[in-house]
Amino acid sequence: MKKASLTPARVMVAGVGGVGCRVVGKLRGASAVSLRRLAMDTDSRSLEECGVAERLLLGSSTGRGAGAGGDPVRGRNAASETAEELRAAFVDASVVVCVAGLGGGTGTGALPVALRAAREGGSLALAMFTTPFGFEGRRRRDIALNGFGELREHADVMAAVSSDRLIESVGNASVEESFSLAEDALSGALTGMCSLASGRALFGVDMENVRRLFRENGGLFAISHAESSGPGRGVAAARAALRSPLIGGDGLGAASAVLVSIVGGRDLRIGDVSEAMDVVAQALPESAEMSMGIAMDDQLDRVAVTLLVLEGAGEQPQGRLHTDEPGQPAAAPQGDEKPRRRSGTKARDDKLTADHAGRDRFRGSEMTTFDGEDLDTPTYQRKGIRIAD
Amino acid sequence: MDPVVAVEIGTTKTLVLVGERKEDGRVLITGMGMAESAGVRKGEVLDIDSANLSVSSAIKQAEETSSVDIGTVHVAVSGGHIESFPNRGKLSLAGGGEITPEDVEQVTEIAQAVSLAPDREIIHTIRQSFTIDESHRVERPEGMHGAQLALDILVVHGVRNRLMAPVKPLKQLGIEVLDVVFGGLASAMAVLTPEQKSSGVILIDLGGGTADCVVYVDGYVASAGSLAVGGDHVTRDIVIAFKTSIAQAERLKRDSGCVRPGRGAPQRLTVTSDTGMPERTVDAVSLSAVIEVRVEEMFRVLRSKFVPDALLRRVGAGVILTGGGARLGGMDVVAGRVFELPCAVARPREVDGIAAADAPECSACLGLIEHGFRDTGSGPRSSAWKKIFGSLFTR
Repeated sequence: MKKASLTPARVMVAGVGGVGCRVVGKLRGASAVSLRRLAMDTDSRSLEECGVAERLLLGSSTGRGAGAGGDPVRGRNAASETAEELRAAFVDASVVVCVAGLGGGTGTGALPVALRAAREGGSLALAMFTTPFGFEGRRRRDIALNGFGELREHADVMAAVSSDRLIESVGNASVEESFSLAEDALSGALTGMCSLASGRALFGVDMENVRRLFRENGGLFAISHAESSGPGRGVAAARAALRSPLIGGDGLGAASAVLVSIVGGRDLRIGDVSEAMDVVAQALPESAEMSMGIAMDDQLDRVAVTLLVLEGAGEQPQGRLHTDEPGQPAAAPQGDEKPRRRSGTKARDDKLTADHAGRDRFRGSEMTTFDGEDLDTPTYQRKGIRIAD
Repeated sequence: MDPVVAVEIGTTKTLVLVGERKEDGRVLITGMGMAESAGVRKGEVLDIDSANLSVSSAIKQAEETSSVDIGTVHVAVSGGHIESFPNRGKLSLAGGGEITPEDVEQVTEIAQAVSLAPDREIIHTIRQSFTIDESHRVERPEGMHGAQLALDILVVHGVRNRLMAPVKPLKQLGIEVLDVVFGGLASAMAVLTPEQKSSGVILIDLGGGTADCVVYVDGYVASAGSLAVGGDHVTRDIVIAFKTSIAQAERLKRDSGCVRPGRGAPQRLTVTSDTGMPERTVDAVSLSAVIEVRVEEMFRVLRSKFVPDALLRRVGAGVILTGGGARLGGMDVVAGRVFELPCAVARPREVDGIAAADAPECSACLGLIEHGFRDTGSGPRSSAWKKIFGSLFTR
C-alpha cells in the first residue's frame, strides 16, 4: 500500500534537466527550507548554478556532464545509468514531485526514468512540467509529444504549464522573458503544492484522491497560480488564478475536477480562505469535484492561490497536450475556444491519444483472452481489416 | 411488505431501483437512482473508493425519489470470472420406498458438495431436474418410488475477492447486502417468459464491460457465465481505428451500428467536433466493419464458451438480447447469424411505476427486485441461497 497523503507526507521535489533544476531552485517560502530538494541534470554547469544543495549528475561516466544535446535518448540513457542513485535518493519519500521542461533532451528523456524510480520505491510519482513554446520549433514539440506519451506510463499524476497558453497573456514578451514566465508559473504552482506538504498544512489534500481523479479522467491537470496582498486579497488571488490563460482563461466551465491550494502567512484569516473558496466554487460547474488544501507559510506575506484544473472528463481525447504549430501567430484570439493542437500535429498526436485512451480504458483489469487470443486488441486489427480514409 | 432495493454497479453506470409490491401482487418501481460508474472495469469494481462515490450518489437519488430509507439491498454482479458447470448428486434409496422431503434435502446437499479452486466461491446452485432410477426425469420426486434419486444442478461460481468488491462500497455506506445474484440470471428473471424458458432460449445481457449469457432448456438454467467483452471494447476499437476521443467514438458507435450501410445511406459519418478541432468524417463502411467484426467475435466466443452444440440444438425460442448494448443497431442481425437462430431485443416485462425503468439497461435490477420479493418467502431454494451467502456476505 502506498503512503500517499500530502500531510505530513515525506515530499521530495526533484528538478530534472535545465528547466526543472531552475524551477526547483526558485522554490520560495518555508517549503524551500523544509522540503528535500534534489536537482538532477546531464549538464554539470546547470547543476552548479541552480542553487539546490542536493545534486545528481546523470550519466556522469558516459556523458561527463556535457548535457544531452537536446536528444531525449541520451537523456534517458544517462538517467538509466544513474537509476540506482535515483532510487536511493527517493527511498525515504512518500511523494516525489518531478519537475521538468518537456522538449529538451534531459527533461524529456530523464523525466520518465525518474518517475519510474520513484514509483519503484513505493512513492507516489507526480510530474509537473512545461510544454515547449511554438517558437521553439517543430522538433522540440515532437520530442515533447513523444515524451508525453511515455510519461503517462510512469506518472501517477501529471500537471502541465502550457507555454502556448501562457504566451497569450504576455503578447509581445521577449524570448527570454517567455521562458522565465513559464518557469515562474511552474515554480509558483510548485510552491503552492509544496506548502500543503511542508508540515504547516491546516487542511491537507488527499493525494490518493488526486491520483484517483487523474487516473479516472486520464487527462492532464492545467496549472494556475496567483498571489495577492492587501484587503480582499483572497478574492483577488482567486480571481487572478481563475483568469489565467493557463487554465483556459475563461473560468472553469470545462473543468471536471479542481484542486485548490490556498497558502497564506501568519496573518491568514478565515475570511481570506472562505472568500477565495467562494470565488472558485462559483466558477466551477456543478458536476465538478473540488478538493482543497490550506497551509500557513511564515515566510509569505500574501495569499497565494494555486489551481490544478482537470478539464472535460471523458469528453476530451485523453492525454492531449497544448502545443502550437511553429510560426503561427501564437497569440491569436480564440474567443471561447481554448487553444488546441493544430492539424499539423494531429496525426502523430492522435496516435498517441488513441493508444493511451485505449490502454486506460482497461487499466487494472485482467486481459480478456479466448483460445490464446487477446480479445482486448481490436478485432479488426487481429483480422487485418483495412480502414479506408 | 417491505420495499426491495436492487443495486447494480455496472461498468458504465451504477443503478439503484426501489420496488414495492402492491396489494394485487404487482411490483411497482417507486425509486430510481443512477450515477456514472467510476473505478469499474469490465464489470468489476477495481477501485472501491471511486465506486463508493457513484454508489452513494445513486442510493441517495433512489432514496429521494422513493422516500425509502435504504438499509438492505440485493446486488447484481458480473465479470469474466463468472462461470458455471453442471453437477449431479446421487442418493441410494433403501428398499425402494417412497421418496421423502428428507431424501430431497439430502440429495441436494450431495449435489451441492463440489470442490472449487480455493479462490473461488459458489454464487448459485440452481436446481435443474431430478432423475429416478436413471431413467425418469421429474420435477417433484416427493412421494414417488425408486431405488436411486439423482439431482442435476448448475453451479455458478466466481472469484471470491471479485464477488466481494461491489459489496464493500455498500458496506461502507452502512447498507446490508442481503444477497448477490449473477447479473445474467437477474436479467433473465425480468426479461424471459416461462414459455421461452421451456422452449429453450439464450439470453445475452450486453453491458459496458461484459456480456452475460444464460441458457435455458426445458425450463431450467442449463448454462450461465460472463465474457469480459462489452460495449467498451467496441468504443475502444473505434477510438483506435479512427483516432477519436472516447466521447466521439461513443457517438459514432451509436450512429453507425454494426451493420454495413445500405444503398442510399451516407457513405461518410461526421465525427462530432467537441475539442475545437476541425470537423472531419470517417468512412461509414470501415466504421461498421470495425464494429461488426468485434460484435460478431463476441457472439462467437459466447457461443463457444456457454452454448455447446448439444444445448444449442435444444433452443427453440431463439436468442434474446438485453442490456444497454442491445441498443446498438444491427445487434440482432449479427447474433442471429452467429447462433443460427432468430434473435430479438427485449425490454423487461411489465414495469409499473417509474417509466424510465422500462429500459434494457434496467433488466438486471428489475430481475433482482422480482427475485427479492420471491426470496422473502421461505422456499427450499431461498434457504439454500441464504446458506451460501451467509458465509460470504454477512461478515
